[in-house]
Amino acid sequence: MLTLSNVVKYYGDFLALDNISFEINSGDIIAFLGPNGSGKTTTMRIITGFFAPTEGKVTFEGYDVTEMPEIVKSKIGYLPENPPVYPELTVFEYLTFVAELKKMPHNEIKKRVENVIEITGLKERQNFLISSLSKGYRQRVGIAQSIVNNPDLLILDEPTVGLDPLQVIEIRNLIKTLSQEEKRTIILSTHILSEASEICEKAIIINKGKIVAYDRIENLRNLTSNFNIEITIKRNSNVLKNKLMNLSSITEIKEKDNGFIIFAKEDIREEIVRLSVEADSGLIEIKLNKTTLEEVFVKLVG
Amino acid sequence: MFAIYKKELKTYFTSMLGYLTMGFFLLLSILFFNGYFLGLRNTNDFSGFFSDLNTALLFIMPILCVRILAEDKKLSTYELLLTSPVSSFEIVFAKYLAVLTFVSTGIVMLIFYPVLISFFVYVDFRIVLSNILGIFLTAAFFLSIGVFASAITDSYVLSGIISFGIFILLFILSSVIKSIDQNWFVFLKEFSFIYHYEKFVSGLIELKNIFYFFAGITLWLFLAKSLIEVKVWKS
Repeated sequence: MLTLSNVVKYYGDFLALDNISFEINSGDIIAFLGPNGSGKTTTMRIITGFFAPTEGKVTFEGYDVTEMPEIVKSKIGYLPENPPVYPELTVFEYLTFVAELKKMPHNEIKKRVENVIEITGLKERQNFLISSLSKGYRQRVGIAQSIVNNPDLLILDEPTVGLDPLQVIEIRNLIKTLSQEEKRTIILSTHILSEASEICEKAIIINKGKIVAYDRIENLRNLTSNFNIEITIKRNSNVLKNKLMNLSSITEIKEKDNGFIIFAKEDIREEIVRLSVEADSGLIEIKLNKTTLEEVFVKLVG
Repeated sequence: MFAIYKKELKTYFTSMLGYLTMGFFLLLSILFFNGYFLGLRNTNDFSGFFSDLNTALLFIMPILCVRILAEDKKLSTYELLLTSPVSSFEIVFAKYLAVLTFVSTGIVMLIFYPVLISFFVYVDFRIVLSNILGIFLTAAFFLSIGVFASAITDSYVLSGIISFGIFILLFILSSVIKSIDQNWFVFLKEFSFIYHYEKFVSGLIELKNIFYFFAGITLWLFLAKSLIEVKVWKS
């Protein structure tokens, strides 16, 4: 559906994107992850046609973004980092304006705008001036404008930044609704990793202008090859620690209250149980922790 | 393109900026009318009245123009516009047409004064219309410069200073070269907007003078459109 091939972007002498290529299929919900300044927004702006790439090619459903910008732009919905709203318009006026701007057929506009207002929970505020809305509601208006033209691809640039915790949950639920009920293809840029694992199926991790990983989130979790085993014991912690040190597959042992967190290359729970019985440590709990996306991220980007 | 035009027009007719500038312009027109026609003078010569208002417009228009594209850059609606299926020329032209429509509303209202005077003395409406056409074309010309200035930066102040600077520079240059008499340099006069505007003041509507303003408008709007495109390709 969307293909980036060998895209390079320079800002003056600064290399913002270094030869990136990837492909996104219809129906994918992709998290676009990376530290600040890694090239996320630049990539999104190139896909949406806001910038042209210095080199390389972006095609969407077979159309080249720089050669056929108008066709591509009418099929994409985009929410920039700050919602692009005109404060002097009401929510309804603004969404009608965007629908017209995106060249929707005139007879469908009113119905679609009403529908989008319903989906994004803006019904009670539809006749409010945007200048009078809170940040969370403005963000909803931003999301509403990005879907008003029924886009095949929805690109959201950090949609939950700067919102309070309740608003964050609301916006995340809204995005989930869009992905699950409306079956849209979504690229979501964020640096909140829990958000990515909650909403998305796949993730692209970008760092210093290069793609460092692109896979399903479960597969990415396995990338760190670490097993993280947490044990709680009652006594003899030093004896047990000495015994554990002799195991070659252990990479790190961290102490915690009444126990250890053990990082190992393989699942050595059985060994640990055996050693703690030998050491008479009074093992009362052992569990294998799932690798978090944070750990993967730190490993790849840190 | 029509969507942007409609939205911009609404902004002018419903915003404080629109009301204040229009109010100020109409107030000036009343004051000038008072100065030129009321009292004991029995005149039907409108050229001074219209020329003064035309000069006043040069000071009002930069205020209207600063927001045109600079505001979008500030509000990040610039990203909305540039990621929508409209060309950069459509964006520039729609915004230009909207501000021109707004200013023209004010100019058209000036016809009220000659109509009022015509109840008392004979008024040659051909000259009046020629004057109004002259003001309209000058305003259209300067608004295109304002759009260009607004495309340069996202700062209102800077965009205002740039357009005002170009206005004043053109005004001074035009006044100077208009009075050149040496044979070799007479052609320079053709570059002076005042030289062309004065033809309309005297009631002379020539294609050449209309063409001058259209060429100027096309040039500045083309430059504004190119500035937007340069940013897409070069930034």
